[in-house]
Amino acid sequence: MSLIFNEVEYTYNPGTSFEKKAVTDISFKIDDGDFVAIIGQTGSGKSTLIQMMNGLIKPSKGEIYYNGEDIWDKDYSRKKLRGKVGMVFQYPEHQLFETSVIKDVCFGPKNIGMKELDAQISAFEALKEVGVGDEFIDYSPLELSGGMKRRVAIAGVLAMKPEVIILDEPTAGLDPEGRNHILGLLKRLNEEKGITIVLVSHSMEDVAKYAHKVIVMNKGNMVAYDDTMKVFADKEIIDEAGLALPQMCMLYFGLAGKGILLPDIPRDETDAYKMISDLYENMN
Amino acid sequence: MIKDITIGQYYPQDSIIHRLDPRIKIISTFLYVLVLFICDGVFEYALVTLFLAALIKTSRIPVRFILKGLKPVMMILIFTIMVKVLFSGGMMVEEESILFKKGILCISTEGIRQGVFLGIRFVYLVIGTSMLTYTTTPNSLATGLESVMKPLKIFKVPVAEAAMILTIALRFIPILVEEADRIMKAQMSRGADFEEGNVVKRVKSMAVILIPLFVSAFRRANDLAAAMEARCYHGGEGRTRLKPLKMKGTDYGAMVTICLFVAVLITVHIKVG
Repeated sequence: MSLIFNEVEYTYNPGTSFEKKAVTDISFKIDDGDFVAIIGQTGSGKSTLIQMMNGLIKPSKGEIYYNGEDIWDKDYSRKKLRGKVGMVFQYPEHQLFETSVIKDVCFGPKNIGMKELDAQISAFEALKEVGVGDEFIDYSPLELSGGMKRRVAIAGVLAMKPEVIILDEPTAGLDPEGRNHILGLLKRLNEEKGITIVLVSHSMEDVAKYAHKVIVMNKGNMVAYDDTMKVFADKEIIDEAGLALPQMCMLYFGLAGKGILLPDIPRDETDAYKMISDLYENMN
Repeated sequence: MIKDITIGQYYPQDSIIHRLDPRIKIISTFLYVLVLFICDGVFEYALVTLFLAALIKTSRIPVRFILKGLKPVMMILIFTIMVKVLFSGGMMVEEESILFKKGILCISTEGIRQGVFLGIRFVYLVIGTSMLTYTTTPNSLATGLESVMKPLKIFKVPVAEAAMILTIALRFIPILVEEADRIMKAQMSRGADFEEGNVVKRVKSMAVILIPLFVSAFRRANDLAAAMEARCYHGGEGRTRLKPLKMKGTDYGAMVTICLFVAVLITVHIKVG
């Protein structure tokens, strides 16, 4: 399976004085089981891009293919598509509406045609996956803490058993523990269940640590799409897009400037620690 | 969808009309609506048309945008005209003007004439009042209203508070529209369908938007109240403005223009009628 964008363009309010081109001539392919991050400044077109991925908005130009089928074909069911390509919006806890956690998580599965029992089982599994215990299932979603609400909202998408999950800054406004929990969950879903993850994030550290590939957006254009570390090795593109390098990249380049060459750009702190201590031992 | 509604929306543009004192615009709109209701006959409507055309021209708002704003009221418009035209039997119509009569159905030239004028009056009413909001930011509209309503203080009407309520309400419309759009997309991502099914089903499906929208509105209200208190808001008493309203030359000019327009129209009405 794959998600392909072919020369896609999107213009807001075409033909009025509010006209604004949000995304220009974008082509790429996301493969099955990949973990792709989308980075870029606010207003670079990230949100527009991901909303086109599950057919919420129609591109002004170009085609989008999911599993080889044009999703804007006349007889293509976008409702089914949204079951397969799950989308978790920014602050997803704001979409909760049911009287109990379990009912809310069942909303998606039932909409795509699951039977009551299947929907419940799927909801239970999803809640367990995101780490919401059985004791919470009859709570009103509004009674839960912010971090818990967000987990419930993510479970609501997960329960539809999607093949791809798109998340728009899922860790915004969470404490470090909540962040680690959600990012760990994404990693697990990707590695164990083979779910394709598309992550929009402003944290370069998270992107460096978790994503296999990175799409860099700059003023509506896709300026890079490559393996994560290859993208971060190109300081110019990152600078031009108004982004910062991950701390570990800065460490790598900083050390290299002083003549200390690490074998590779470390992905995270543990990685860096290992590389540096190896180097230190070799020196002695 | 939701974003298509242009009534009550501000259209940013740099024009004399946009820069006018909001008080002048509010009173002018009020007068305009009043004289629109005494309007009768081709000559008077022609005068109003001329006035509106001049107004739109000086406001530099594209005509296409104004016409788009009429779309949502089209149904009501067509309905009222149809009623007027098809059921003119109830009115005092002279026998010779009746063209067709069967049961309660009655079409007459007088009915058609009145229907057409009613339609024009309705359209002009919507356009005229929309011009106020197109050319005035919500904030200055509220400031203007507060000032215009000041005399009501004698009757213990909390004018400043009412103006504040209005300002906040207007300010929150675009925010809530955006929020509704986002919630709608989020629920669509969870397989919700807002286009299929019968009326009952569709109304029910609105709940999945309305509940989160209300929750969010209350949350925002709480935050705003806290922020206002943190900045020592204590009601309208003794509050002053950073930019007090002040009449300029063009404002007096506009005032004279609207007074002349009203005077001419009334004169024509008396003379011709």
